[in-house]
Amino acid sequence: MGLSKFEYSQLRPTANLAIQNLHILYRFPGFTYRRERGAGVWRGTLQPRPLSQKYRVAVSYKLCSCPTVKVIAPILLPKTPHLWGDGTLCLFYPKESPWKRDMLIATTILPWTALWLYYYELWLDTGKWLGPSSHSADRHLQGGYANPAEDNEEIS
Amino acid sequence: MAPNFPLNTHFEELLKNIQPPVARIKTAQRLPRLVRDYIKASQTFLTITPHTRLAGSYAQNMVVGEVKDVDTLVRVSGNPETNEPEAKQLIRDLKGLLDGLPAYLGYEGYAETQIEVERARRSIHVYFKDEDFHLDFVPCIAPDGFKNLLYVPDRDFNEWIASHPIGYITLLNKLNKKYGKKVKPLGKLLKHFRNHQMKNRKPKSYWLGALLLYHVQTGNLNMDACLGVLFRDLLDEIHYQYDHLLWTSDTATPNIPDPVLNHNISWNWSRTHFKTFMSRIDEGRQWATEALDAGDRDEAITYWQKIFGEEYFPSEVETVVSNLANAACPGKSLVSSTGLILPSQPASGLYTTTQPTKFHGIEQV
Repeated sequence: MGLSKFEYSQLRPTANLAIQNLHILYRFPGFTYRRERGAGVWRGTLQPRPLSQKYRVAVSYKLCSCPTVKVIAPILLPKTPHLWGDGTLCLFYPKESPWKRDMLIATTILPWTALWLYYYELWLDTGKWLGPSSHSADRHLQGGYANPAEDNEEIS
Repeated sequence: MAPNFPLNTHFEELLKNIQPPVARIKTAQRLPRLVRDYIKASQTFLTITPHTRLAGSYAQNMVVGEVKDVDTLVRVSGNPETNEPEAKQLIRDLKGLLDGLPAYLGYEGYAETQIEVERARRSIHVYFKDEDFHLDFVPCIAPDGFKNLLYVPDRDFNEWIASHPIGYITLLNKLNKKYGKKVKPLGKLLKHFRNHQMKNRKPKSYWLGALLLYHVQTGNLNMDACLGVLFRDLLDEIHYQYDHLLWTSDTATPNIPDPVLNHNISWNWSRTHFKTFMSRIDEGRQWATEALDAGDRDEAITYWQKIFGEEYFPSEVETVVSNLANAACPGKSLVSSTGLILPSQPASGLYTTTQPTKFHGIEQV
C-alpha cells in the first residue's frame, strides 16, 4: 500500500528558519533577522525602481504557516489593492498555488514583494493595478488573512 | 512624510523629455573632436600628452535641453608659480592657433565667417554659426595630469588659477553611484527648473552643481526618498541656507564653496540676480510641497507642471506604464539584491528570477 497524500507531503524536505535565513542573507544581504514570538522576522528595504523611494518591509514566518509581509514605511495609501485584512501583502493566491514548506522566501516571497511594490507604484501613477491578479469568488479570502487560523499579531 | 503620489513614471518621462536631442548630441561629439585633432597636430602651439580632455556639463553627463556648448581642457607645459608661460600670452597664442581653424576645416571666403573665434577671460571661445554651437577651449597646466589639481590662465589677473574640473566630475560620479544613481537626475531637475523658471539672470550651472553636491554630502537630503521629495527638499535646503542674506543685508550674496577646492565660486553673483533666484526657489519649493501633499493625482500633476512646464512633465503616462507592467511580468523579470525589478539579466551581479504568481485580494475600490 502506498503513502497517503498527507503522508507523502510529510516526506517533503522542510526549509527551516536557519535555511531560510541563509538564502535570504545571500540574495538580499541588506536584510536582518530576528526570532520574535516563535517566528522568524526579516526586516530590510526594497527599492523596486531606480527613482523609487526605499520601502521598509518585514517578512514574518512561522513554520507550517504562510510567510506574511508588511510594508512598515512609508504608510500605504488608503484603498491600496491586494492587501489582506491585516494590511499584509497578498502576494499569491493560496488556493491556486499554496505555500509549501520547502519553498524559499528568498526566491519567492521577497521577489514577489519587490514586484508588489513595483505594481503598487504603477497603481499610484494610474489608478490601475496592472500586475497579474487572481480574483476568486472565494469571499472568505477577500479581506481575510493569509493565515486565518492564527492570531495575526502586528509586525512593526 | 512620503508623498501620496510619488509619480515616478512621470518623473522618468520628465527626465527623458529634458534630455538633449540626438542631433545635438551628435554635433557635440563631432565638432570638439575636429578641433581637438587640429590642436593636437599643431607644431606651433605645443600641447603635452594626453593633449586635450572634455570637461563641463557635457562631460559630466548633466546636460539638459539643448547642448549649447562643450568645454575642452588643453594641456600645455609650464610653471604656474612663475607664470610661465605668461597666462595672458598663452591665451593669445591659443587664439592665434584657433584663428587658423576655419581654413583647416576647409571653410573659405564667406564661409570663414561661419566660425567665430574669440578670446574669453580664461578660454578661447569658438562659435560654429551654421550649427549654432559653442566650444570653449581652456588651456591648462596640469602637473599631475587632468585628473588632479590643475591651473587655468586668467587673462585679467595675468596669472594661473588653481582649478579641479575633473575632480568635480569624479566626485559627482562617486556620489551618484553611492546614492543609487539619484544624484545626477536630481541635478538635471535643478538645472531644468532654473532654465524653465528663469529666462535671464540665471545662476551658473557650476554653482547649482556645487549646491547639489554640498547638500548631498552634508547629509541634508534623505537619498532614500523618491525624486519628487528629493527635489522639494533640495529647494528647501537652498532656501534655508541663504534666505537670511536677503533680510540681514542689502548687498550680500552667497559664497558657494567649490566642491573640491573649497574657494568661493560665486564671488561675481550680483545681488539682483541672487534675489531673483531665491524668489524662484521659494515659489518652487512651495509648489513642490503642494504637489507632494496633494490628495488627488491630477492636482499633484498640475503643481509639478507649474514647476517643470506642461510640455515636459506629462499629464498622462498610461502607455508607458502599460509597457513597464508587461516588462516586469512575474516569471520573466528579475530582482536585484536591493529589490530593483529588471526585465532582463544584466551583465554582472546577483539577480533572482521572479517566479510566476498572481496577486490575490480585493481589487481597487
